[in-house]
This record gives sequence, structure tokens and C-alpha cells, in this order.
Amino acid sequence: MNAFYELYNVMNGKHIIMIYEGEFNQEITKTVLSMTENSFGDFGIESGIRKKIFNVMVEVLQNICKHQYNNHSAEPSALFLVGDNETDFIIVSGNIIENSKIEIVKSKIDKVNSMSKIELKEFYKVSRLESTLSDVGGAGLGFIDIARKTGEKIEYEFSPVTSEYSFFSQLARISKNDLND
Amino acid sequence: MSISNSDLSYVVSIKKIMEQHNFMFCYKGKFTHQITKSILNITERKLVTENVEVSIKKKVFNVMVDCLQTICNKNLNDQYNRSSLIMIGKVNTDYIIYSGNIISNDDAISLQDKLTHINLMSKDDLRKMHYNSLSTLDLEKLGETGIGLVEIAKKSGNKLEFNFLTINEEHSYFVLRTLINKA
Repeated sequence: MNAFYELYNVMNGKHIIMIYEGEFNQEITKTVLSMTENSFGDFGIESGIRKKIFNVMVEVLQNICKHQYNNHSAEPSALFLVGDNETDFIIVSGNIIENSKIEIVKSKIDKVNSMSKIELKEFYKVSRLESTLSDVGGAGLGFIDIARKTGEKIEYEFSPVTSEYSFFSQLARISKNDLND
Repeated sequence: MSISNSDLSYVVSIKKIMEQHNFMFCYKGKFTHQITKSILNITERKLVTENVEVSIKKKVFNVMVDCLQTICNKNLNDQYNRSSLIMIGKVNTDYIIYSGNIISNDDAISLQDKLTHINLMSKDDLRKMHYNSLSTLDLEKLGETGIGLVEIAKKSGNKLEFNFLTINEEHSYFVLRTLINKA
């Protein structure tokens, strides 16, 4: 029973409502998305905010699908969390990343976080033209999209696992109160 | 040393707990009809992904339905409703389902009796307890929750593990742990 209480306490303290751990395939992703789409209506959340949550979730899940295979020596696995506190909805993804790639990802997020709404719009246009299909997340379009949709900074943490890999957590925050668009 | 712009160390903690105990999915919050349906969908998808045998899949799914029904049966205030939780995990090849919810202390006493009673029954006794063959007396004694628990015990084939944690003078937190063996 200890395992139950351990997880219960973290979820309670951090206002987390859903955790999924494991492999993400298209079917699971679809089901998780439809859960959010259908269920948040029951919470009395405005449709504008719901749309935002849904869009950000799509980006985050896409990100997970791409990067769950990062650790070549293990089964594909990633973590997905949804939180709901008084002011925000939070969407968190976690996956393994090669240490050599941390700096690239970090600088992409930092860059996006430093931009204004207008700058982000411009940057999105330019990046979209530059990116190619084979270039997996090359321009960091996902980050730009998340930043534009949430209007908030993307929060991240890279925590070391081995000399080769780290665990990359990324949090997107959607305010319940303001509708920027 | 972690590199971060925000303290997300709890995400790593969650990852560790999930991995250590082989949890796959957890939901904590209000259980509406839609949410219950979605949770079942995710579980089903997950079991399909893992290529689980049909009979086990059915058992896990059915126990999950009964657990969700037990949770949904409680009419509580919003804050208490948000404490309800369902988790599904694996121990080696067996599946494990935890459900937790707040109940009144009066219900806790009668629930404990029911659980003890069910755990004393043999598999044969349980099997004989079909819904249709239950007498009015049995029905009264077991109530809706009790019938759900009998079903869970029947399907899991294991003793029900449970825990009551007193919250205050009026309420307790009830956790049920159901193990479903692969064979």
C-alpha cells in the first residue's frame, strides 16, 4: 500500500490529475487526447481554454512520440502528466535525452522564452520555411507553438541519469483566466 | 547537477515511483461518466499494446469497471470527490489495480465488515454468489458496493487487500488493492 500513498501524496501536493508512463503509440495518444477533450468539458472549463489545452497537448504528445526512442538501449518510454490547480492547467512531458543534445534543446527553449508575442509570430514563420520534414524538431517549431499558444514561458529541467543520458522534463502552463487570442 | 529554469524535480520523483512499482496509468480527481469511459479506453489500449491474453485483459478490464463504479457511487462534496484515485500497474506479469476514495466513517465500518466477510469466502462460495441468486437479505447486507466487491474478488481470484486511513471524525480514505494473476 506504500506505493499508493507515495504517489497519492505527490499527486496531491502538485495538483496532478493524470499520469501516464510507458510507450506512446498513435492509439494511446488519440485516447489520451480524447480524454482531455471530452472530460475537461465536465470541469466547466471554457471552450477557448479547452481548445488551448488541446492544442498544447497535441504538441507535447507529438514531442513525446518523437523522442521516446532516445535511449536506444531501453524500451521506448516517456512520461505524461496533466495538472489542474486553481489558476492554471499544466501539461508535462518527460523523456530521456542524450547529454550531447541538452545544450541544443536548452538554447532553443531559452530563445523562445525570451521572445515577445510578435517576435514569436515572426520566428514561427521563418522557422517553418527553414525546417524540412526529415529534420525532426530541428527548428523547435513545437516549442514556438507551445509558447505562442500558452503565452507563458516553457519550464524545463534536465536531470542527469547516466554519463550518456539525462531526463528532460518540460512543463507548459495554460492560465485559466486569460484568453489572449 | 540539474540544468533548469524551474523546479521540476517532482517529475523525476514521479517517474521513479512509476518505474519502481511498474505503474502505467493514474488518475486522481472527479470521476464523471466521460472520464470513467476515457480511463477504460486508455486501459484497454494499453492492454492491447502489451499483447495481453484475452482472458486476462477481460479480467483487468472488468475489475477496473467495478472499481470505478465503487468510486463513482460516493456522493461527496467537490473537495472530497477530487481525492478519488485509480491506478493500474504491474507486478512481474500480474496486474494490479488500486482504487482510493473518501468515505464516511460509518460506511468504513460496514465496508470493513463486508471485505472481511468476502475474504473469508472460498472461491466456490464466491462463484455461487450470482447477482440473480442473491436473496433480499444478502442484497441488503452487501449493498451496491458489496456486490461490486464480490465481483472484484471473484474476478481477481485473490484476497482483497484494503486499508482505511482516518482523515477526521467523519471521514476516512479507503484504498483497495486488487491483484490479477496472469495464469
